[in-house]
Amino acid sequence: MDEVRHRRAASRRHDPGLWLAAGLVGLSLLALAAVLAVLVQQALQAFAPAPVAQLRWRSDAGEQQLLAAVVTQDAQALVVRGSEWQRRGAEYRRIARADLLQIEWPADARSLRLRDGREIYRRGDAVAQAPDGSGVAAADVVEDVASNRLSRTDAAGLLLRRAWAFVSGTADVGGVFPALVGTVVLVVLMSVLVMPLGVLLALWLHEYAGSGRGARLLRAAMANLAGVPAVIYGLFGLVLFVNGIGGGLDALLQSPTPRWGGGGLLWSALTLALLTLPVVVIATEEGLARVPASLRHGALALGATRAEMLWRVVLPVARPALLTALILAVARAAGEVAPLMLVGAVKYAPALPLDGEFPYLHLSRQFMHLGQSVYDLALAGGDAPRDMAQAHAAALLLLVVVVGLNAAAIVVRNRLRERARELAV
Amino acid sequence: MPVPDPFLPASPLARRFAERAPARARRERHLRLGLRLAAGFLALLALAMPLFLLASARVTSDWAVHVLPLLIGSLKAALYAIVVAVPLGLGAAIWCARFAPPAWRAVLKPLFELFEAVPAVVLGLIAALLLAPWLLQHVLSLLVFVALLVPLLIATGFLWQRFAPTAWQQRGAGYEVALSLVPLLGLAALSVAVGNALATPAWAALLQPLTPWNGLVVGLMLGLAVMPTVFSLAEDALFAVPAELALGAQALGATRWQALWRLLLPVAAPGVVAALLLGFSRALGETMIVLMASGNTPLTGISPLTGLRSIAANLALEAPQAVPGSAGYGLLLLSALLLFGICLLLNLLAEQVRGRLRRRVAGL
Repeated sequence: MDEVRHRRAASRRHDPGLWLAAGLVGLSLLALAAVLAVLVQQALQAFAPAPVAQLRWRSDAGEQQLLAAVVTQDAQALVVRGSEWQRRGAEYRRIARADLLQIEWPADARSLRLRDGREIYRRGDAVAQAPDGSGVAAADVVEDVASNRLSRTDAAGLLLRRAWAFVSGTADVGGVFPALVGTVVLVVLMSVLVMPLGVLLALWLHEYAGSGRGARLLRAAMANLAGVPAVIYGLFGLVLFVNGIGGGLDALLQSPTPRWGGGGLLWSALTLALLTLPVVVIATEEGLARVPASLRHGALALGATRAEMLWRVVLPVARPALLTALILAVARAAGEVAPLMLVGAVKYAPALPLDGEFPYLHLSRQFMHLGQSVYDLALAGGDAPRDMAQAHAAALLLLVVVVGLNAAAIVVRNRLRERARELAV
Repeated sequence: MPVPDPFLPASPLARRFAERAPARARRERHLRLGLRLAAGFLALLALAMPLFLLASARVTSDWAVHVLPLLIGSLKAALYAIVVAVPLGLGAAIWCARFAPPAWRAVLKPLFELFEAVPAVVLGLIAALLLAPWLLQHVLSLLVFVALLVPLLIATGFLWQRFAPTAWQQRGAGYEVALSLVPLLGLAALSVAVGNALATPAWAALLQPLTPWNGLVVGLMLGLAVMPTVFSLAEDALFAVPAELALGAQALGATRWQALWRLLLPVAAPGVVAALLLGFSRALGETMIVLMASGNTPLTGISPLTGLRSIAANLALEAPQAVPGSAGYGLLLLSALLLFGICLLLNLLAEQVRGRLRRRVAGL
C-alpha cells in the first residue's frame, strides 16, 4: 500500500510536459513584450535630441572637420548629420572609426531646428552661417537647444514638445496631423454607415429569422464574409465603388477630371463598412442573446407589439452590446491598411477631408491615413534615419489608438456579462 | 349622429388605445420590411463579391506564368507562419485551458485577444526595419535557440520536479510561466553567444540569407500575428472538454500531461484542426506583413532564406495602378478569385470540423 502511494507520487511528479506548455506561454509573452519594447524604444528615438560633436577625420580629399549631430554609432563607424543648409536629409555622412582623428563634445554646441524640419548646428553665440554666406531668419527657428548640456527634465520636456509637434504638425513639417484627422473622419463615417445596417441585420437574424433555411444560409454567409481577407474587400471596393459606381457617376456628370472615379473618402468608408459588417452583426447578436427572455415576455404580455418590444425594451437593455460592437468595428477599421491602399488612402494629400469650406466634409477627396503613413515612412527615401524613427512613432500612435479601443471593448463586454448574469437571477 | 359602435370601448384610455392600433400595426410592418431589406442586402453582398471578381477576371493563355508564382508565394508564407504559430498557439492554449490557475487564465485570454488586434502594419514595420537586419547577422543564433528550446524546457521541468524542495514546488505551482522565463532568457543569451562564435566556419555561409527581406522574416512575424487566432480557437476547444474526463484518467494513475496528451487532445482534435485551418486561412490573406517584409520577389524555391511575393501583397502593389479592362487587371482579379476561393474553402472545412467537435463534446 505504502509502495503504491510512493510510486503514484513519483509518477505524478514527473510531468515535464507541463513545463513545455508553460514555457511556450512564456515565449509568446516574451515575443509580445519584445515587440512592444522595441517599438517604444524606436519611437522615442524619433524625438530624443541627438548629441552634437566636433569631428576631425581623414578622407580622400584630405583632413576634414565638421560640427555635426551623431545619429548612430557602433564599433566600426558612426553616422553623423551636418547642418542642413540645402534640404532636410541631405547632409548624412558615414565616418569609419579608423579614419576618425578627433571627436569632442563641446559644451557650448547648440542645435537649431527650423520650421521645415531642417537642423542647423553652431557653437556658442556665433551666428550660424551657410557656406554661401546666407544666415537663418530668426522667425524660422522653432527650437534652439544646447544639445550637450540638457538636464534630464529639459530633455524630457523637449521630448514631449517634439512629440506634440509630431502629432499636431502638418505633413510638410514632418507631422502626422492630417493622417490622424483622415483616420478619425474615415472611422466615424464608417461607423455611421455600418451601425444601422449591422443592428438591423442582427435584429432580423436573432428576432425574426428563427432557424429557417434562409436564416441558416445568411448565418453561413456572415461567417464566411468574416473570413474573407481584407485586401479582397479592398479590391471589391475598387471594382464596384471606384471603377463601377464612381466611373459611372463621372460619365453621368460629364466631369473632365475623374472626381468620383478615383479613390476617395466615401468609397473607403463604404469598403470598411462592408469589412466590419460581420463584426458588428456577430457582437450585436451575442448581446441580443443575453437579454433575458422574461423581459421580452413581459413586454409582449402587456400588449406591446413586437416592434415596440424591440425598440423600447430589448435594444435599451442591449445598449452596452451595441457599444461593444461599435468599438470592435472601429478598432478593426482603424488598424486596417491594405484595403485602403486600393480605394483612396494616399501618401500625400494636399487638403484635409474635413475643413471650413462648404460642404465641409469632402467625400470624394483622397486622404491620408495613419497606417498608410507608417508604410510610406518606412519605405521612404529622402531622410531614412528620421523617417524610420517617425514611422515607429506613427506606428506607436496607431497601436495606442487601436489597443485602447479594444481594451475598452473588452471591459464593456465583461461588465455586460456581469449585468446579464444579475438580470437573469 | 353616428351610431355608437358596440365593439368600441367606452373609456377614453381604451379608446385612444384602439385608435392607435392601426398606426402601431403599420410601424410593425415597416420594421419587418426594413429588416427584410437589410437581410436581402447582406445576401446580395455575399453573392456579389465572388460574382464581381468572376465577372472581371480573365484567363489569358499565359496566366500560369503570372499567377502560379504568386500562389506558391502565398502558400509558402502561410506555411512558414503556421510552423511558427501552431507550436506557440497550441502550447499556450494547452497551458491556459488545462493547467493555468483561473486567475492566470482570466488575464492571459484577454491579453492574447488584445494581441490579435495589433494592426498588421505595425508588425510589418518591425519585421521589415528591425527583425530583418538583425536576422541577417543572427540566423545561426535563431537555429540554436529553436533546436534547444524543447529539450531545455523539458529538462527544466524534469529537474524542477525531481530535485526542487517540496516547499518550493508547492509555492511555485501555477507560476510555471513566470519561472520558465529564467531558462528562456538564459537560452536566448546563450544562443546569441553561440551564434556569434559559430559565424566563422565555411558551412555557416550556407545559412546566410541572400536578402534581408525573406521567407524567414515573414514566417516569424506572420506566425506571431496568427498565433492569437490559433490560441483562441484551440483554447476554446480544449476548455470545452469536460474536466471529469481528465480527473478520471488521473484517478487511474495518469499524470496530468498523460491525461492531456492521450485523452483530452484526441477528444478536442477537431477543434485544434479547425484552429490550424483558420490560422492558415488568415495567414494566406494577411497583406501588410508580407508586403513589407518579403521583398516581393516572385521566387518559387522552397528555401525560406529567399524572398517571395504573395497574392495579397501583389494586389496591394499593383491594383491601384491597374487599368480597368486590361489583361493585367483581369489576371489580378483572377489571382484574387483564387485567394478568395481558397480562404472560403478553408473556412467551410473548419466550420464542418468544428461542428464535429461540438457533437462529440455534447455526446460526453
